[in-house]
Amino acid sequence: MRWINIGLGLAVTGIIGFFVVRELLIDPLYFFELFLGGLTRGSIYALIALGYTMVYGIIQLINFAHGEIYMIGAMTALIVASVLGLWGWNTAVIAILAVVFAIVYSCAYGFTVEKIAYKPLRNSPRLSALISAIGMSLFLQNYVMLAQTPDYLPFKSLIPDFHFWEPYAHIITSVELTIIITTVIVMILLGILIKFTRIGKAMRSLPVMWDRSTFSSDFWQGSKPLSQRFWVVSALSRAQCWDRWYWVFPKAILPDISTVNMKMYLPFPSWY
Amino acid sequence: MPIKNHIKQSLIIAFWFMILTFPIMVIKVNAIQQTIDFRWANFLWVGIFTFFASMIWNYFLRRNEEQKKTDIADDIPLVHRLLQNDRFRRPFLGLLAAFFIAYPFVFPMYHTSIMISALVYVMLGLGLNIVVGLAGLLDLGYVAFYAVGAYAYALLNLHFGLSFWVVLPMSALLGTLFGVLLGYPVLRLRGDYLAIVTLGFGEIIRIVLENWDDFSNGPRGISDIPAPTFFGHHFGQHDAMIYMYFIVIALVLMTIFFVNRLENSKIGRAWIALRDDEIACQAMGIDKFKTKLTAFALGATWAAMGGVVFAAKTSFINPMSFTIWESITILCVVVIGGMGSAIGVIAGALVLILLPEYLRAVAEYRMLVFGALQVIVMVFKPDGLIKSVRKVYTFNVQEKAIHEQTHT
Repeated sequence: MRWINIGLGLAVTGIIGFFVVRELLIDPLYFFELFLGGLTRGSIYALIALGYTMVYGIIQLINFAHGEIYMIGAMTALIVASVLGLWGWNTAVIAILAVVFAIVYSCAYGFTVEKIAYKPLRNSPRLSALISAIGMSLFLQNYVMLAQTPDYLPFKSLIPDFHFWEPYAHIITSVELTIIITTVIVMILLGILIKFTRIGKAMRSLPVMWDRSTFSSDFWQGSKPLSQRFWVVSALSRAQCWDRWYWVFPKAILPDISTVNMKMYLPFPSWY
Repeated sequence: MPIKNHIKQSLIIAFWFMILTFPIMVIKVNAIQQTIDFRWANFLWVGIFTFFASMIWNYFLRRNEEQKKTDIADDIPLVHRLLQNDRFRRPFLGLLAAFFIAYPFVFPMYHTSIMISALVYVMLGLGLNIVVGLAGLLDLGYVAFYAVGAYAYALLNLHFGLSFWVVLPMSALLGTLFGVLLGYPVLRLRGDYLAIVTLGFGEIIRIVLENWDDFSNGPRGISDIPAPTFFGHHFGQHDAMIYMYFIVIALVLMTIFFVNRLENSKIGRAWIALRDDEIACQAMGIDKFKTKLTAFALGATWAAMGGVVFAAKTSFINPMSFTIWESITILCVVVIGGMGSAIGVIAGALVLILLPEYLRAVAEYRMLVFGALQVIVMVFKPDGLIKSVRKVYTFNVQEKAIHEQTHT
């Protein structure tokens, strides 16, 4: 049985590998363009997935509203950028402010969503929290669609074409370059946060304690020292909050599609 | 906490929400005319609304907490108590039956139509309840079996001219077969991993139907699917709807009967035991894999039958009717109704499917309200609207001893 599995795995990899290599041999430049485009997309998804896995790892909940928070980050960035753009501010300042606002707002939304929809359900069946998350996701989608618009919106590019990058711009644009570099930096920062800081350690320690068989609600009632409890609780709510920082960042400066397509977030982007 | 503190807390929350919703509620940029609208009225409304909402929310949260502390034992849902009491049971069921029989004759056709959809969801919900509620397997690809049933009827009718009554049992078998086929490889997984793999299978079926043009007519779908006949007699449009309604009622009754019997059978108990503790179950000699597979296959059977009814009712199907959203809706029916409780699932389906239809009065806000209601129901009733009650057998030793003593 095991050998069949290995054989199947190798066969699939081989077939895919064959086509990849064939593309590479036919047209190397085109191949690299596609590859880097994929890498850019992939790095954004990777950041979203990081946020996802942090929430999942800590509260053991498939957070259906994750994609919506992402959408709100993008919307906030878009609104801030277009308002400041109409007021005629400097592009660099706009870019920074859009990022800052996107981070702060999606962080705040994550925090609020957790307080409303997930926190009261911590001692309930896991599926209940899942449905609550689905409800929240529906609510947020429709809230933005009603308050703003369900249509495509143009997002003006905030990243200039770097002068020094011009010779390589035909392979990878400076926007894509910025996205990839930002992703790498943010991932390193996240790694440091998780590994070395106190809040990161509190987050990592949670899933173990969260096991329902060993972890009863007595824990919250004050059987442990106050300071420890505080860290655990704040880690829980901040898990919702902290992770937003990282993936909203590239989204805020992601003009490569040059549109914020709200329909793209319908109906369960988080899965894909 | 005195009332003053509550008001203060709500004021802070209202202020927080005013800031939170500021960019999205207040600012509106018109990119074409290059103007910015500041809708300050919204700012005020958000504040006022969240103030009162948070007062009510906190009040109910506190009440819930207090209730939990005081009466733990006495929280059997009202419906169960009604049904257990012989004095209310008969009139209650009689009234219910009278209502459902009179329904299509009293209400216009539109209402009959949406009631049929709701009843189809009752079937689907009860089917998924076996998988999720009883066996504890989170299945997000349930819609695949629904699609199998619907396409089975549409295609068999198109190519071979088979009628509704022939296809219905065939599709049930087909559903079981697909349940076993899909279940066999995925049931080794657990929990959320299972959910994601089943989700993948659901998508595979939909995408195959969408792209295999020669087989399923692709995204254009299949139209002119005939309504069921009554011993070869065809009805007019209005009568066909009423006939359909009674067929669905009959199927739902059958489903309730079967599910009820299954739940109290050996295999039903094995499912519940498996949900509660897998390892203990294996120690007791229950074949884990076989039990899970039965749950999966039986759930699929009902989904396929629901699919046939759906195809016959709408007379047109295409792959867009079988997206992941459909699976999620069915899952919501089960969880909001109350996992593992048949009455709960029925109530959940009726509420969840009829509510958006009646919410059409508020047109564009309906999905907003719907999402909010989902959250509210889950926060205040985490076990669902009508939660399941395990059968309790009481055996009062003391009383029996006294009884025996007095006799001897």
